[in-house]
Amino acid sequence: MTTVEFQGAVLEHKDRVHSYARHILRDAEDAKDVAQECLVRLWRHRDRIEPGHACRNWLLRTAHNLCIDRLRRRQAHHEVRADDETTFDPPDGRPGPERLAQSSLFMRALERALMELSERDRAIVLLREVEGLPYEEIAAMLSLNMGTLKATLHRTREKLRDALARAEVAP
Amino acid sequence: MTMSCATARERIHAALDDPEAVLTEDLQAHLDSCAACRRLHDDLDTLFDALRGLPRMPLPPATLDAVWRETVGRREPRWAAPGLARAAAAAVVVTAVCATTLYFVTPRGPKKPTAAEIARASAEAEMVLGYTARALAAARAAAADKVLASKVSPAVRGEPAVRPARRSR
Repeated sequence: MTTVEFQGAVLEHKDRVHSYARHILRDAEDAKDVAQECLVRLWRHRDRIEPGHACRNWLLRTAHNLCIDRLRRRQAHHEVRADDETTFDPPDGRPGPERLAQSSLFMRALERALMELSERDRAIVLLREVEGLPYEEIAAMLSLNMGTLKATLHRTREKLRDALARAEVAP
Repeated sequence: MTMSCATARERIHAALDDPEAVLTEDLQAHLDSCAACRRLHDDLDTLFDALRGLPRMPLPPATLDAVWRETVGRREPRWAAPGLARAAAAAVVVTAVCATTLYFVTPRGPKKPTAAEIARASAEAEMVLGYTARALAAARAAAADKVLASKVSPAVRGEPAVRPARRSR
């Protein structure tokens, strides 16, 4: 990957990596740190990473591993973080169409439902349903066999559906 | 035989796993006849679309700046300055123009032979002279043989003696 390709990859994937870290960690500061570390690592390893899907998968895998490290450190220090309720507030607060959509009852309920999932289940849903990664890639990333991965995803979809039903918003 | 709800549930998830897959006729028939499975299918379909459309959280500009500083940005400020960039571009153009002018203006004399070329030419000349000397020696020897041969008597040469014819009185 050339310098120009690296710059393109950063601009293309920075929000993806940041969103993933924020969903997994539920902490704005930690998510920024993870995203920054992830993109700097991409620069260090750019010689052996091709642009495109390979780069996207590498970034998400690295982000996932960095998030898991942070979560383990938190557990070791018995840190308890409050759930990040401001996940999708745009930084400038402009009431554009995106913000209106984000603030809809359904999307907020979906956010809360995602946060209620275990870290592993949330990672599976985010990597497969949100990011569209291939099953093989997710299975390797999370050290799961294909059967377990698919069964977990099917179960998690229904958990989300039930949570949205409990929140009295139709999916 | 109609499909069971458990099988329909599996098939609904399988269809979501492969977005390009189409609902089979038997699953469609089951969904037409079972309100619960139809609702499950519709809910999961909507959920799938909502997750795919989940808005991304933008990386704050300050964090992006920090990324550039730690990566390409380490060299960037020096060259990103507009004055320096223009000066560098001007230097490249001036160098190119000077080099081109010098190439066409500088007179170029006959090319001097190298030591290796001189040595090879000398060896070739010696060889030609040697052939000529040998050819001259061979020609001289052939001419001498011809002259001597005319002076040797036929007896010496092993030819029969020829008597001169008697003169009639």
